[in-house]
Amino acid sequence: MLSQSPSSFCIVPCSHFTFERLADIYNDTRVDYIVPMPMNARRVQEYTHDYDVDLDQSIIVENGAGRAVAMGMLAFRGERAWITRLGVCPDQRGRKLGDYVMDELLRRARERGAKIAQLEVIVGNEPAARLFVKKGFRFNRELLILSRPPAPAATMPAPEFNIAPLSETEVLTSLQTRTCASSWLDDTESLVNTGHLVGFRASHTNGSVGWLICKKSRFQLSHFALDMSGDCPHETMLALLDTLHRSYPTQDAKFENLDALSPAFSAFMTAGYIEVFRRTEMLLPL
Amino acid sequence: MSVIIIIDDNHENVRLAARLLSPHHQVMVANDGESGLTLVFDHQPDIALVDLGLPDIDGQTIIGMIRQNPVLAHMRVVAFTAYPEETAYEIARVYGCDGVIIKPIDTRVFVKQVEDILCQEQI
Repeated sequence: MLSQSPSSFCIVPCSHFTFERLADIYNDTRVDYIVPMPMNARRVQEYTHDYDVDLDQSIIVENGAGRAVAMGMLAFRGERAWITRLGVCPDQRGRKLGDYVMDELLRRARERGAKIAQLEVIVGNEPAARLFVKKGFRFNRELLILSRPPAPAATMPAPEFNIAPLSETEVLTSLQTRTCASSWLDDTESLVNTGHLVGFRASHTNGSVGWLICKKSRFQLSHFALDMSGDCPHETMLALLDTLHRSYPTQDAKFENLDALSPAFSAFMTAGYIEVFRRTEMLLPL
Repeated sequence: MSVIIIIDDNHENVRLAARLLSPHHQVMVANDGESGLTLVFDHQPDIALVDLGLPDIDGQTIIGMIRQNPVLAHMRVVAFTAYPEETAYEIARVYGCDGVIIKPIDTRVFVKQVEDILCQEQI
């Protein structure tokens, strides 16, 4: 039960707040989060831009005293809705505010015509996972967050591979025709929104082919997307990773949301990546 | 007396850590990665305590940049984090940290933890 009646809480669209204020509220709700991921105003702004977050449909819950106590964000792509940044301030938990935010976001998603809602929850965040199951969400797949320190590749691509950089046009074409399922974070829309994409294509003499695309910023390689076909996915991806890290040896690398069952996983481990944590992707037909 | 830089966005934690260390060492603090890096490059401290979850740049990215710079080769780097312990140690290992201090800090041993890392032989 809400300790105050729902009518004593006020829902305010996120668009009524500055990015500075949204960052503060978000950080307040995540101060004790299982994997600390604070954001500053610039990061919140990039996040809403890159992931098509609709700030008019995203919400802050204020209590009767006008204090922001919970939040949740909503993004739309076609008939899909994505729920993200859900959080309740630690001293307000146990009052069903998470239920309240989820019900409101799902109502807004339905009203907007979405046919499916999706979200991710960090493995180990049991209270959130229970809430999502209660709302009807079901497990879809597990996603890995990988990290690799800056360093040149330890090996050279095998000579059987022909490797070439992708042009800007080829990057877009590759993303639009990929066969591997993407998560919201590495959807083509997300990568196009974030920009600064680089990529390589590898083809083996035995017919195996693959490509790897990511965002290159001053300090980091991020927003990875990949695709492969043929008999040697490990070797193909390793050749691409060798080339990537040989080309950008001073960048840290962070791959969010690699499918845990991807045949590329072993190549990332060989190339020096470590698993930092896992998320569960969940879906709800609306 | 050593020069210590703490890069951490949690103001309470920074205040506590700085209060414990400052009677024995010169302590400087930064609340985000960018200003932390500036402090590190400007002052080249003996040790940096780097929170892995920073609001602007990932803490491990900061550590990677420090570790790549030969001018800072003498500097100890500590992963200062509330990440799950196993994850924190794995990140620290691959990013070349000299130690890990898990938050919230234990006020009874915190200064000794930092000083032990300062006294370690560098590999």
